[in-house]
Amino acid sequence: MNRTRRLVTAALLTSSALVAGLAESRFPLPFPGMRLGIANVFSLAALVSLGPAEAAVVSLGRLVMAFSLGGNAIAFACSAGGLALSLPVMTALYKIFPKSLSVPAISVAGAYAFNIGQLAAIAAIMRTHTVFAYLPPLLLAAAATGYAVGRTAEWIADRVKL
Amino acid sequence: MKKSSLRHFFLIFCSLAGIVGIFSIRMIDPLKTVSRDGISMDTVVRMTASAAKTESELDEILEGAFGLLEEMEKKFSTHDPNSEISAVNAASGAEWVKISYDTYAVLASSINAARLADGAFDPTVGAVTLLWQKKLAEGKIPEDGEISEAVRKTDFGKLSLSAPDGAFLDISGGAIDLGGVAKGYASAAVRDYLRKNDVTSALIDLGGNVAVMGGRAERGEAKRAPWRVGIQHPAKPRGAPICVLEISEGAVITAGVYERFREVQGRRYTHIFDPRAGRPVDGELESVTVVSNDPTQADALSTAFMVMGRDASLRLLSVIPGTDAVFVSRGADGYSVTATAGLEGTLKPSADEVLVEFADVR
Amino acid sequence: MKRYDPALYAILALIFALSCAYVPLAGRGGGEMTIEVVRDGKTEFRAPLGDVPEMLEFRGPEGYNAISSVEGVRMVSADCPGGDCIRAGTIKNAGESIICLPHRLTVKLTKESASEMDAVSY
Repeated sequence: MNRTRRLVTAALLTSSALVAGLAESRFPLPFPGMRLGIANVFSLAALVSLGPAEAAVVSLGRLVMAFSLGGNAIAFACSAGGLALSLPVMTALYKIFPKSLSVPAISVAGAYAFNIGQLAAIAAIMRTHTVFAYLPPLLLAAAATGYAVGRTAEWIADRVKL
Repeated sequence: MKKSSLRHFFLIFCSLAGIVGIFSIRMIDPLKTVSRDGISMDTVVRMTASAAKTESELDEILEGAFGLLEEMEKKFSTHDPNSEISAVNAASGAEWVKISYDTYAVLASSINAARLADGAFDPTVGAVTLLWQKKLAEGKIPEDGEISEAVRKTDFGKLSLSAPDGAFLDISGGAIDLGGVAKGYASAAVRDYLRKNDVTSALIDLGGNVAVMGGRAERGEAKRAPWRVGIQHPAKPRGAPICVLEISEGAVITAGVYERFREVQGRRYTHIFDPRAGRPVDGELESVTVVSNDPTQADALSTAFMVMGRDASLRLLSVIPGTDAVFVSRGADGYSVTATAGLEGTLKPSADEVLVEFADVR
Repeated sequence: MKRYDPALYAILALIFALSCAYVPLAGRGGGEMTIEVVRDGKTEFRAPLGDVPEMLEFRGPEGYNAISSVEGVRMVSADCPGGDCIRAGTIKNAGESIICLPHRLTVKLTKESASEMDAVSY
């Protein structure tokens, strides 16, 4: 794949992620902090089809743009905390076991890491560790949404066939 | 997009992850907490200390703190004829006595407090306390002549110090009694000692004279919670509070008439004396609690305020910065609590019927 | 499903189990159920659940929250933009908490006695 095509694909995935994220924020789930994580589909697709650096750019780009489009600072800090944990986890799993781990499995691990990182950020902001009591329901949901996101990302990466 | 700039992005992300990681680690508190009980200075002593040390190190530090108390007891006691204070008393009206730094410091603080309270607290009140103790033990009350004789022997102006190690009480038959200040000074000394040994959080309870530092370390919490120190309810059993004070740093020292008293001929005589009248205090105040960063002064002032009464004390408090007080008095319908405005928000009543009033003294 | 997938899922299940084990730990301690309201790391209110009025109101620099304590504790009103705290629903067990992130407010249930003191001055 040539450089231009890589760049265009990364940009496309970033903007798709941004739109998906904004659309998702219109329909909050019943439990605070619970997300479908549709935006993560595109980061994951970037990871699979382009590589770790592009996946980081897609996630970070989406995060910064969503913030500049009127997100609040605390939500930004939470997502940053989540990404700071989930990106390295997903990248490491993907790089170390490219053949022996499926994309949905990596996605679920990423969703777990995201939720834990997000709560760590909240714990730092609120200066109390009791927020981790939110973890069980969040992780339960993350298992389902993470798997769905993984399947979708796999499918997209397959279609894009870069 | 160049490969190297992508790498930069990745590096930034890794450092971000590092920062979050450090935050999470800070949540896991490496502090250890050790408590110790014992008897010293004629009272029940309890200390709790937290530091980033092993438990055996903390144990050793607290052991040292109890050693300090023993040392001070040996210097300050009026029962022990070999104490430095007893030596100064024995030489009263006659000659200078060589004393240690601790005794010098506690006497200097006492004289300052006595000046501040204009004699409502007096370290040379020994003649008065001894007279009453002796008579009350016999079931009698001292006669007016004896009282005025004892008052004549009470005058902190005649207690001279020479830095760094000399003391002379220029009243023959006079006696120093550090009952109103020794525990405050001891808790200050223990607090300084713990601080010097890198203890970051501590509670020192010398028989109800409470000094705290650093807030209460709670497992896992990045921020320290304040210590919760109760103020004894005058009519309830020991340990039942009338108010609870949240305090991270400072001393909470109470003088109360309910604490020690003797009944003779149907009247109660407390252990707190008015040095100027030569009689036990007998006012509407049940107790005074002084909250200050200086435990020695807090101890002396709590006694002085019992003598002065609430209104005069509030006036005096207006010129002592950083010092607050809680006055518990008995009225026609139960107990009432008046506190200085500096305690608003941190002092809460713990009995339903009690109302806390805050007085702005500044 | 690839070769190592089951292993990864097992690890994740273990993490889930650990997170479940944390919940009772967060509300450790004996004594009666206590409601604690913490803003920005500082305790603003703490009282036994049985002693608090049915409705508690808190005003801070960022905004307003109202908490109901009838049959469990829940946030009934708040002027934060997301309203996440209201959707968090009712908490009933020690260790559970409701968070109003925009207002930096945490409402938690603990089993720590509110009247517990460290010392009494007498």
